[in-house]
Parts: sequence; structure tokens; C-alpha cells
Amino acid sequence: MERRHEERRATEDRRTSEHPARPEQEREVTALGRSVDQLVYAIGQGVGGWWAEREVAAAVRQVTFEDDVVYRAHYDFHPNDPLFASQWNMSALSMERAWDVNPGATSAVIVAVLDGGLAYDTATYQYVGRAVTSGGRRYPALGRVTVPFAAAPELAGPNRFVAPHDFIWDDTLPVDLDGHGTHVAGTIGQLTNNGVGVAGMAFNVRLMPVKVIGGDWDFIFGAPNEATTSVVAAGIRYAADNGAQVINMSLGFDGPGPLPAIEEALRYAVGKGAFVTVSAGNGFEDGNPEEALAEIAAKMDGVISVGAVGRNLDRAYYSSSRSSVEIAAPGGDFRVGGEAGGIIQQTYDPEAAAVDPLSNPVSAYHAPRYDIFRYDSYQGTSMAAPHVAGLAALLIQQGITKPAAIEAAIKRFATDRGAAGRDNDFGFGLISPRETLRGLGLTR
Amino acid sequence: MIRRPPVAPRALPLLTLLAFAAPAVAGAQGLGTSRVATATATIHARCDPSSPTRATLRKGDAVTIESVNAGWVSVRVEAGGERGCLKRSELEPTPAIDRAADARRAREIGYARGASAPPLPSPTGRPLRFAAFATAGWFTATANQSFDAVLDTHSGTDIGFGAQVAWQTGALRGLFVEFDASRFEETGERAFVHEGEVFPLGIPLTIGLKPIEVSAGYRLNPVRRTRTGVVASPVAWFAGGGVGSVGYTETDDESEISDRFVAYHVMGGADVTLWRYLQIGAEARYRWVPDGLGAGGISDEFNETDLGGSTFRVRVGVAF
Repeated sequence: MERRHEERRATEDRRTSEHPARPEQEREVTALGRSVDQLVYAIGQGVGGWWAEREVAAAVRQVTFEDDVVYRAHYDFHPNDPLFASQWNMSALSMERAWDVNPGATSAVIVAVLDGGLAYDTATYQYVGRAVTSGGRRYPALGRVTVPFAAAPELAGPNRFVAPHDFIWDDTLPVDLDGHGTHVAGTIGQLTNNGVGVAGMAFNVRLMPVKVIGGDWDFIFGAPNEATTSVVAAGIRYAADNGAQVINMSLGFDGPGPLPAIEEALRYAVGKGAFVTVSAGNGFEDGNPEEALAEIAAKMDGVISVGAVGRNLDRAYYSSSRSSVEIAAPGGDFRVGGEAGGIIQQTYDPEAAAVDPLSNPVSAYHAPRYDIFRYDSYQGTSMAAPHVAGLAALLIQQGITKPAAIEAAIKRFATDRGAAGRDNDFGFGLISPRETLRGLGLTR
Repeated sequence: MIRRPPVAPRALPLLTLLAFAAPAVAGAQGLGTSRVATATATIHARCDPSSPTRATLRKGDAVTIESVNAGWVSVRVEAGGERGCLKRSELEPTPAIDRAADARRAREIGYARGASAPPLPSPTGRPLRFAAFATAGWFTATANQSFDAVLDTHSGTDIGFGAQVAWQTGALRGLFVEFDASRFEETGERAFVHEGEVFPLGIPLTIGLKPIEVSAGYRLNPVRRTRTGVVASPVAWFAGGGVGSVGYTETDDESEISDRFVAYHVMGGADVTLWRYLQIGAEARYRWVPDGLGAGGISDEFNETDLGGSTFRVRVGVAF
């Protein structure tokens, strides 16, 4: 077999205007005997996380270049969101190159966010705040309060939200009284390339807010339901019945299970063509307990459990390390780079929204408002799962439409991390959106 | 007196022309002359009483003996120069005619006893036959699942060209050596495969195959003996095999893969001479390209390793 090495320049040299490499980085790459196209290709191979640190040589050295391949890689899509540079998670996944392949899916794809609600509505609602006792502290009754809500500017848009439903309040107003669901939804579908804020993975999809978790304020305001297995199972079935192709479940259940109602609902959803992402669990330092939902995911094709990595691409300190971990994605790790090491998305201003009211002293206790937003840094496998949900949405748009095939593709193209092959920290590895979206050629 | 016969019809068989163009089997020099011994004698176009009449001679007319062929004698009329065949019984016997007839009979007896026949002459009159041709046909890949996955088909047009040298005389008679090059190119899209189901991904992918091959084999161009010579069939059959090199390219928006693999093939077909040097032919070829696929990608998913396949193609060219 004869191999041929051929150097060929891209027909259009766009480096001047669009290539992200800086002159000193180009010089460093050239000194290694590599082309700038090969550098960009290296980034696409999942060696991200280096850009901000200018680890050009490390990036190039991590990739094996084959002599019989002519590399011609360019970034074509550069989001103009001003805080995009702070999203290490996006560069770690080489999302710019992934968006070259599929720029954010389309509104034909519906992603259900089964969470504590979503900042999807601009309105004012009245609640009655009852007195509650928590941690030995008695929080006084707030009485009838008028709470302003606003749709998150970075989420809302024409026809953006589909079939909202609240299984905690038994209505169709799944507003977020916490901020968690809004943050998660941002990672999936934050408006992107709009000159504002940050980017999301699949920024053109439609979002289905399905509230199945009640927070402190839901409890204080007297919500009739809480996040039981039957409520969550109902939410899963609802999402599947209303056209969700992807369901993100950044939630977990205490204890080992089994959860037959959940398992049956997940099987139902997958049977209806929905791919489901679940968080693998944050309890590594709490005894690394079994996570019942992740256990179900691990044994069901079309449902995937997601562990978290920090910006150094190592397992986040809290992320479960169990056989149920199937894949890894950025979830943030405040121990690596502080808050900048978390996942930044738009959500409520925590002070205005009085997030975690029952953790605060009684003196700081006040009625919340949900119309003030900021870009906040979170960490958790809750943040990792929506990266995979966003990738799944891109894959569906690209043509991989069956849940089991989506899971297989994500695992097939993951960048192995940790011990060779599947391991408990990373599962099959860190997701590689661009490679997964590109699939396979005849021989490569 | 010599009477000219009617003009032969335009549809005079090609074989007739060939018969006269071909050298006489028993051609001889110095057979002398003879005279018509019967009242009249008919000169036929060929040594066949059903062949057209060239002329009618009278007793005593002189003819030059050109050859003796069983019961026939090939003659040229002294007076008019007409050529043709006369029955030997219509001529006055001469010693030269008798010797020629005896010699011919002896040869025929020798052939019957197993003596080697004289070598057939070249169908074209030359020791080597050269041909150059263009090809167009249909390639079908052996790795049909892999090709189907990325191209939505495992077949496509194949075009090329080639040249052939064939020996027409001597010990190598019938052998040929051929060189040809061809090209197959189809564009499909990258894909993902899960449990045998293919998910096309909409990213254009072009697959190219460029075989360059050398073949050797046997080319059978049947020749038929006639009473006066040899007639070559316009149809020739060939079969052979060979080795080659298949250039492989796989091109998409990000990269271009180029590779080259050793290939083996067998082939067979037929050529038909249409007019003078123009020929058309048909060929079937099967090519093996072991380990050209299967190192990765879709072909690895389907565990298909052979980049070869079958090709059916038409060859049009010239031969001389």
C-alpha cells in the first residue's frame, strides 16, 4: 500500500478574517511542523480547554496526524455573544466547529426541560406565603404576595416555548421559582449569535417547560404536589406525548430505587422516539451513592446518564463515579478556577429571586421576584446533562433520529478520558459534538 | 471465345474477397499452362460449382495454372486475364498438374496421420495486433453495504481507456497484454450506522476509485480454412487476468484522504470488428482489492474489507 502525502491549501484563505489563531500561535504551530489547518483540526478532536491558556503546542501534540490526509479546517461560525469567551465549556467541546456542521438545529426539534420550571413567561402572579419552619428556624408567613415574572431575555423568542405544563401546581404555568431550570434550559437553547450574553448548544430549538420539581418557594407558596416518582413519570409521558424529541432530566432521586414508574415512563418515552438525558449525580463526596435514575439510564438504550467535568476536563469533584456513568460533559467545578470554572448561563439574580430562602437567616427572608436576570455560574451534573441534550438535538437535526442510535453515536465518538475505554469517572468519555455530527466516511 | 459473365452483385460476400485476398494454400510457381479439354469449360469465382460464373472457355483455350486444389485448378485465362477455378477434369492433364495434385494428396494424408498442420496465418496479415480503446461501463462494488450507506448506491458509471498488444503468429499466437485505466466517482454523504440502520448526515462525501491495471491473457480470433485460403472471424474472444493499483480518494469538507492499494482481477469478453479498423467489444471484469476498506469508518461497521467489485463495460476503439 502506497500512501501519498499531499499538501493542499483551502481554496479560500479565510484566516485573516475568520481564523481564530493569533499570530504567535500560528508561529508556534509552524515551529512544530504543523499547519494552521491542522491546529484547527486538533481543536475539533476534543482537545479544547487549551485556548484560553494558549496551550497551542499541547493541543497539536495530542492529535495524531495522518500523512495521507489533507487537513483543511476552518471555523466558519463565530458567535458574537460577548460572554462567549467565558464559556470554557463551549470551547472545550469545540462548539464553534460543531456549529460549522450544524448551526444550532432548528425549531423543528423540541427539547423538553423536566425541571423546576422555566422563566418563559412575563406576567405577575399572586401567591400566599405561609409560615414555615426549617433548620430550627421559623420563617414568618408572607401573606398574599404579588410576584413579578419575566421571560428570560436570552431564552424567549417567537414560538420558542411549546406546551408548557406544571405537574407541581397542576396547571399550564410552569414558572421557575428557583432558577435551576432556567439555567439548564440556557445551556440547551440559549439564544446565540444575537450580540448578547452567552451561547447555548442547540440555540434554535423549541423548548418545552415541564415542571416536575418543587423548590423552596413552591413549598412556601403551598404547591399541591411535590416531586414524587409518579409526578416525574407523568412529566416524562407528557413530554413524549407532546412531541418532545429530547427530554432533559437534571434531577435525581435519593436512594437506590427501584423506580418502576419512572422506568416504565422512560421506556414509553423512548418508544415514542424521545432521547433522554439524566444527570449522573453529585454525591461523590457524600459516599458516592447509587443514583437510581442513572442506574435506569445505564441499562436502557435511548436514555443516557451524564457525569461532569471541570474546565481541566477531569472529573468534577462532586460527580458520581459509578458504573452507571455513561458519558461526560462540562458541568463545572468551582475547585478548578473558582466561579469561572462553573457553567455560565442566564438565570435569575439570586438576591432578587431569594434563591434557597430556607438556607438564609430569617432576617434576610423576603418575597422573591423573578424579573431580574444575570449570568450566573453553576456547577453540577445538572449542568452536564443539558450539554448532551443539546448535542442530541443537533444530532436529530443532522439526521440521527432514533434514541438508541443517538446514544450509540454519542458514545462512539466520545473522546476517551481517564482509564482507557469505559470507566466510572467519564463513562465512554467526553462528548465530541463535531465528530459525532460528522459521523463516518467510508474508511474514516 | 470468352464471354464475360454478369457483374457480381454488390452483396458479394466478404468471404469471397477474403478468399482471393488470402494467399493460396497450395500456391506454387511454375505449374505451366494447359488447355481446355472439353467442349466448354466454366470458370467459377470460387472452387465451388455454385459460385458465380466468371467466364466460359471453349476447347483448346489456353490457361495458366496458378494452383491445384483437390479436383479444382485455379487458373488465369491466357487471352483475357480472367481468374477463377476450373474443374481439373475439364483440362488437359500435364505433369505439373499431376505432381501438384499428388503433393497435395500426400500432405492431406500426412495431416490425417497426425502430422502437424501448417501454422495458421495471421488474421490480419501481421504478426502483432495493436488496439487502443475507450471504455464505458458500470461498476458494482463488492462492499455493497458500505457503499450503499454513504452513496445510497453501490454501483456507478466507470469510464476509462486502454491499449492491447496481441500476438497473431508463432508460439505466442493468441496471447495478449493489455494496459488500462479507469475511473469511478460518486458523491454521497457521511453517515452513522447503528445496528445496521443507516442515518445519512447531509455532509457531502465523494468517493473516487482510479484503477490502473495490467492484464495478460488469451485472445481467440477464430479463423476458418476455405478451399482457397483462411477467413478470420470478425468476433474475437478474450480472457485473462492481472494485477494493478487502485487509487482511492475520499473527500469531504474537512479533509481529503488519498490512498493506493494493490488489486487483482480476472476478465473476459469479446471484440467485434465492425469496419476496417473499428472495433467494439464488451468486457466483464472482477477485481479484488483486499484490505482497501475496513480500517475504519462505515466499512469497519459493516466489516467489509474489499474495495473491489465487478465491472461490465463496452470497449470502443481501433485495432490494426
